[in-house]
Amino acid sequence: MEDDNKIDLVRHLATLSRMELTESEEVRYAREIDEIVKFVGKISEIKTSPQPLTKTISGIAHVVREDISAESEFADALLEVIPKKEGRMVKVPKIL
Amino acid sequence: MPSIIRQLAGDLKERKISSTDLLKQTYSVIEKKEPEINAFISITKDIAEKQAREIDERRKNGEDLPVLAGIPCGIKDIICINGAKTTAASEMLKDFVPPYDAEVITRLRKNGAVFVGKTNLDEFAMGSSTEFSIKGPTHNPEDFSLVPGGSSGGSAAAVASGMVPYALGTDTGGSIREPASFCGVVGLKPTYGRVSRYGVIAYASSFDQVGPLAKTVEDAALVYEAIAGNDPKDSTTLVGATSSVLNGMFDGVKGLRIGVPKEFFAEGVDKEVASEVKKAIGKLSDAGAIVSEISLPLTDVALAVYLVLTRAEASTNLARYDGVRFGSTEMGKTMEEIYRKTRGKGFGVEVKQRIMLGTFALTSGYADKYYRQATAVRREIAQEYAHAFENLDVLVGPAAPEVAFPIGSKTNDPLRMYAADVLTVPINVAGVPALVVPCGKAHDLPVGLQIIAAQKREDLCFRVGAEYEKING
Repeated sequence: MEDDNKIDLVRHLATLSRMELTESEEVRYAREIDEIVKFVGKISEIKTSPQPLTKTISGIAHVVREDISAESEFADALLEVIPKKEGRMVKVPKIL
Repeated sequence: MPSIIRQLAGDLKERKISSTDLLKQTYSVIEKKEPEINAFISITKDIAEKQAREIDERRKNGEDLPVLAGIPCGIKDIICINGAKTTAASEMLKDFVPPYDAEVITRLRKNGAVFVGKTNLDEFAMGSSTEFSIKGPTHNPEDFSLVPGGSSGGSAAAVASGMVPYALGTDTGGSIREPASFCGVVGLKPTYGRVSRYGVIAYASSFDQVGPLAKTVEDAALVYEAIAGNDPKDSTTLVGATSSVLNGMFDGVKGLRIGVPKEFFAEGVDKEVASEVKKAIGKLSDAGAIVSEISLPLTDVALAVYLVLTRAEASTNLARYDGVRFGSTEMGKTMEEIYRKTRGKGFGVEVKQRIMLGTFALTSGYADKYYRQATAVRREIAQEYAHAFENLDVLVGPAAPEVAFPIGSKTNDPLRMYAADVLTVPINVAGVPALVVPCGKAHDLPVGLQIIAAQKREDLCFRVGAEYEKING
């Protein structure tokens, strides 16, 4: 990949990941990500059998519990760790 | 080697020493050694003193206490302790005080453990050297100019230097076993799902496991038994009872079938390291084990599979650090600006790279080629291991291809850094357990023997480890 394209890719990934980068970080990551992507390319050479991914590596089936709201014993404690709040609400800038 | 935990438990039971005095001794050792080692991010003296006092009180009342009761330990600073700052070595969580205990902490509390402090690590457990930390690097007790390995380097160094008899670490791709190898201590990565991840700050959820680091095999087994088992709060934990690893641990290796994967001695593995490990295998053979060479051809791609999947999982797991709900925050006029500034400043250099790489692997257009293909190859690797264990009890090889390296020597060369994990990541990819036991020295530095078993067969890891420890003196 050309150097300019590498930097463009890093900027695109930083935007998708919601992270502000400095110029020197962009340069560093352009090199590192290019190297790593090349390295991991070797996985495409392995033949695999297509099977649906429904279990963990130790064979536990993924389970989803019923979506039922319930009281949490940690509600107040969790409110305590919120950086900005008003009363029992999280305070954020205007969204709409 | 006789169990240090059992020795201390005996002394406490016979009232040769109180838990409070043992804790004082522990803190005086830490005070003396910590300036040169930097094994801890924070010291939890208030919590530890209260725990020690309670144990002394209960003992005075004639209670029969568990073997870990009143014994100090270190906890990797990625495992939540209620009311104790838990930073994951990140600027993002530098002031985060979790409002609840991780399940492993609940279990250690039930066993009367005393938490002396939170040990150093690579930020969010992403590293092989404990250099990427807000607290600065941990130094290897064998030689302060060297890394202790990572990411559980603080736990390994604290145990190796005699600050604590045991510590908890986490292992996503070798983060317990590589530091155990570099520092000359015992470390176990349990079967995926054996130990609850509830309350453990997530890095790559389909790989992460908590495990013990200790001076002896029996000590590691005692801690493992205290923390292992199904937890309704973590749906990926294995169901059913966990069988004891202490029963039969000293039955020896006579007749056990040991496989030696030739790929674990391939080019890139230090010759002196390979030679020490081969000597260790020779001793197991002399003790009656049936040793044969085998091949695990997919070993070569395991690191690439691991890099894709763990980065993908990290990018989703770390999306929660948004500057709004908890952790550090940066001001901004819009939500987008808060996210970008908070995450840009709050995450360190390695973490940001991994998030971006994971984002790349999951991006539309690349997800099939990288993420889905890696998942499929992961299954092939797991099958390769399962197949090997149809005819073998354990596999053995080096834990790391090298000995501890100088601080600063790899921080700007990620692929060279990741190569330190080339012999540990296949085990996480396959979801099987592995124990590392010190076995001699190469270049005057510790070498670790890695003992790998089939899923749920930690008992075989401990049995072979205990025998090796015995014959090695």
